[in-house]
Amino acid sequence: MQDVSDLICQQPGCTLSSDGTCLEGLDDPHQCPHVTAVSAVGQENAEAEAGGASVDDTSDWQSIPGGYELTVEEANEITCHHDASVVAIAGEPDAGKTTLMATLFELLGTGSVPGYKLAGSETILAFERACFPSRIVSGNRKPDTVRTKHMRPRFYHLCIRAVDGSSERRHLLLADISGEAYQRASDNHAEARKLHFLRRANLFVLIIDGDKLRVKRERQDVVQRALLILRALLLAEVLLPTARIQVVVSKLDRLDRSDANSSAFLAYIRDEFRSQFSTTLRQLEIFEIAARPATADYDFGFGVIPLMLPWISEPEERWSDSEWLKPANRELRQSELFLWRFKWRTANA
Amino acid sequence: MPEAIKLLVIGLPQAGKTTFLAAFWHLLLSNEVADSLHLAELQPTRDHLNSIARVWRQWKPLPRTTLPKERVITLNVQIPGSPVIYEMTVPDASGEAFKRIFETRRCSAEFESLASEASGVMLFVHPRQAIPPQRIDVDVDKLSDIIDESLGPSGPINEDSSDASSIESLKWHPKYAAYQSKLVDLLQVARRIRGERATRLSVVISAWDLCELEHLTPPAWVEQRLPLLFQYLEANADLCPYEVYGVSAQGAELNDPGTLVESIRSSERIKVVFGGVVSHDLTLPVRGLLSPDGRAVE
Repeated sequence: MQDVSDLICQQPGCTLSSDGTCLEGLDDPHQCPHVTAVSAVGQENAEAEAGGASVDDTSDWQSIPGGYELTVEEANEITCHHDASVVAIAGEPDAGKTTLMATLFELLGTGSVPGYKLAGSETILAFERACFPSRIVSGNRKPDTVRTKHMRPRFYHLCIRAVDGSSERRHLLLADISGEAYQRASDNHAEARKLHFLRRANLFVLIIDGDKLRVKRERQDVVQRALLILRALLLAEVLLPTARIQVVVSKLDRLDRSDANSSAFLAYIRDEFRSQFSTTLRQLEIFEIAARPATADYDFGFGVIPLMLPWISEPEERWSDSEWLKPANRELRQSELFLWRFKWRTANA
Repeated sequence: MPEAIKLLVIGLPQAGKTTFLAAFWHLLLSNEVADSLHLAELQPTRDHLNSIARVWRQWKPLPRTTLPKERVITLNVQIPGSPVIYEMTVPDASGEAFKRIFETRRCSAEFESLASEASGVMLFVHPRQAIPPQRIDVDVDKLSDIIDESLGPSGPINEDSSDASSIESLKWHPKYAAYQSKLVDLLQVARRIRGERATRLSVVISAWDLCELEHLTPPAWVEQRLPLLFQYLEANADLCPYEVYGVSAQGAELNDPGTLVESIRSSERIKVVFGGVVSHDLTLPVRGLLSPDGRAVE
């Protein structure tokens, strides 16, 4: 998909620019007739910079797919043709979802993921855009991350292969959606049901904002909200008990590990998730990361590689026959097609 | 009947593509390097090649190729000792066009046609552009705090502007993407167009003289300086076998060529490092793409 961050919709009431949702319900807002492609201005500038040729010189050029995050429909193309793992990255706003993905790409870009190599990515521009605010070139004085606004799932793509070359290419689709969507899901069952793309997730990564655990008056509530997200998604049956669950405490560098009380609280989080979900979920693991530490006590990407290794090594879930029923007598929505095609393919493999 | 070979040449602006082509044409015409590819017969249209080769011989800067459309050149070449004549089609590709492909996610019909029909790909990399992106890490953070303190309260930076949304910050544009990401993406675009058909790839590191102080082989240089590109090449070597060449087609800085300007033959200023051997044979990266028989020998 092309970048949507510069699109402006002329239609009154459309929240495209604030949350990325098209009022017309289109998954790719570029197709909406009410949208003005402000990015065309930037494109003209880019073309002018690129040697002074006029826009007319390239008016007959064809669009190239890929680049930025994939829509469900585009992700479909990958799941239809390849073995792909879908990893849903979830958490409240600012928990560190996009930072995690940017860090993963930075680690790959410096050859710091032992045992694996990048065989391709359909979303290199999306990764680069996610990394940009944390690079010196951005002009920022502090590392930053652009917040995910869209209320529909978007996918970052990676194709990974083992270094020895013996294994097949492994496609990873990292599902990103605004943290608001998960907040709404914890508040309302109908909102949770809307996140049915999660049924396709092989792994569900729930991020708890470590920075918010610093404030002792608030940290209990932070944990309870995270527990509620998981419970709400399971209750809505959009998250299947067969999915592998990773609960991640992010921004570990913000916590004082020498403080016994902080360590005890982290232990409490581990115990709480395990006691509440060990009988419901097949696999639940707890991780602590400092993806982009602000102190020298942690290396860049601390804890990220152990977290991501199961994303690559985890075999695709095989679905039982009883679970794959095509919705009858109505047209499938793209997100349902995404799910159904996967089931059809694995069942017929 | 000549065997038709189409090559796709990929590289961002000022990656050394035209310099390579100019020196390549000189070698074909002059036959100065033993066992290199040679010209089977002169093609009817050669004005552009003659013109850039003349500029190259005179140690003058070559003009940037800024055409939005590909200028395609056809050459008839032969491997020494082989009766096969290759009718080789090579574009004098505009780096600006590749920049635009990456930044605007659009490509010309000519590029699409070349990418789908090419049996070999040449990727040009320039060491001066291979600068890894620098993260704002703890040290940078501390340094900016020190600068703030030294500027004092009257300095241009106040507490609010330390926020990432300060007015000093730039808005995202694809031109800020890491060099290696751009190269990987361009290779992917070409691969997507041609499908799963296997294609040979020659990676040419231009201005290799700039890399020599690092004492690395050309493949090791790519691995260290462009790790993402190296991973991509390695991971796809089954579909796209590749070789890496260190090439100095210009020989030295144009304004300070040193003793190279005293060379008797122009080809003596050329340096090609491949498989542990240093030679003047600039045709090696092209020869490696012609056929399994024509593959350059390590």
